[in-house]
Amino acid sequence: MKLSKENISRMDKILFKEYGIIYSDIRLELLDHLATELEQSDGSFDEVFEDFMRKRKDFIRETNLQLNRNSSRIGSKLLLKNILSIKFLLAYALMITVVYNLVSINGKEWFMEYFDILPIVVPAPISLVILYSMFSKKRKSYSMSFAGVTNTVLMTYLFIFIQIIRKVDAVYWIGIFSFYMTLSIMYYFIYFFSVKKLQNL
Amino acid sequence: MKNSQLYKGSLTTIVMTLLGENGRMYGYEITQKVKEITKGELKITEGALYPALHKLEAEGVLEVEIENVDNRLRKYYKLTEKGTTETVNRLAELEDFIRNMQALVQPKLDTI
Repeated sequence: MKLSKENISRMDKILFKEYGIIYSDIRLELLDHLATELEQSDGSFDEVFEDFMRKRKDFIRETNLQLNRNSSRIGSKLLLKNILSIKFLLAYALMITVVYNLVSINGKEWFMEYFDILPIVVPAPISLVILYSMFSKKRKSYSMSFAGVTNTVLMTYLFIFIQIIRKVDAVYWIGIFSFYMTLSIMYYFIYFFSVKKLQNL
Repeated sequence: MKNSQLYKGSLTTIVMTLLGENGRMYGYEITQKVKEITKGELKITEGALYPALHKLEAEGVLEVEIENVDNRLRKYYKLTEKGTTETVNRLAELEDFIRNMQALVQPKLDTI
């Protein structure tokens, strides 16, 4: 049997609504697998479809679960790989130099007054774009997991490290601030070059 | 995959070898090819196949092509240059492993 556009659309809706497969890249692959398998069956679509989906429910759930876990791992690895890259480390060193010079000239109080929340403000536009894409039908698993991990790391600045760098006098606060500042800028590059390239749908 | 520890960890090597031999393949095709070659003896666990394919893709071992086939999108996987080299290395490693296992196990099997 060959499946029609309507048959495919019905399967897609079931995967989305009944199985909660929200990422389009995961659904695309499962849909093709199930459709190809179903096409090997004898009989009409209406005769075999429901029974087929019932038999394959464990496969669907297991694959979705595994692919979601996989995406989280890949998203975390991608972030770590980029943080340990030469580009990031050079940008980090440059950021430390700039911040250190600004603080030497104008003092820490001046710096804190204007710049302490900058690592949270800089990634706000991209976070909004990602937030918007979370509600789009074409959301992709890698993009979302990478954004989730990166935003979580940036949130640690807002909830923990901003308090620390405001209080401490020791110069290491420059290192902490510069790290988050570099990450918030690199977020754009990593997202648009690495993640989009990986998520090539 | 066949429920044996012996087969664990060999999924990616199987996938890479098949892609090396067949050019590009999609998920379902890979499961069927394995079944066909092994005459049904070895059945890939489909739940493990797609995560393995995605992992290899993220590592740059595989690249994908997406095409519209029969009213749906299909994701084809194929080896990258890095993947081709990696496949050759893995097969050489596997050959060594089989040779060593034969040397270790064969005398004991002969006595049974």
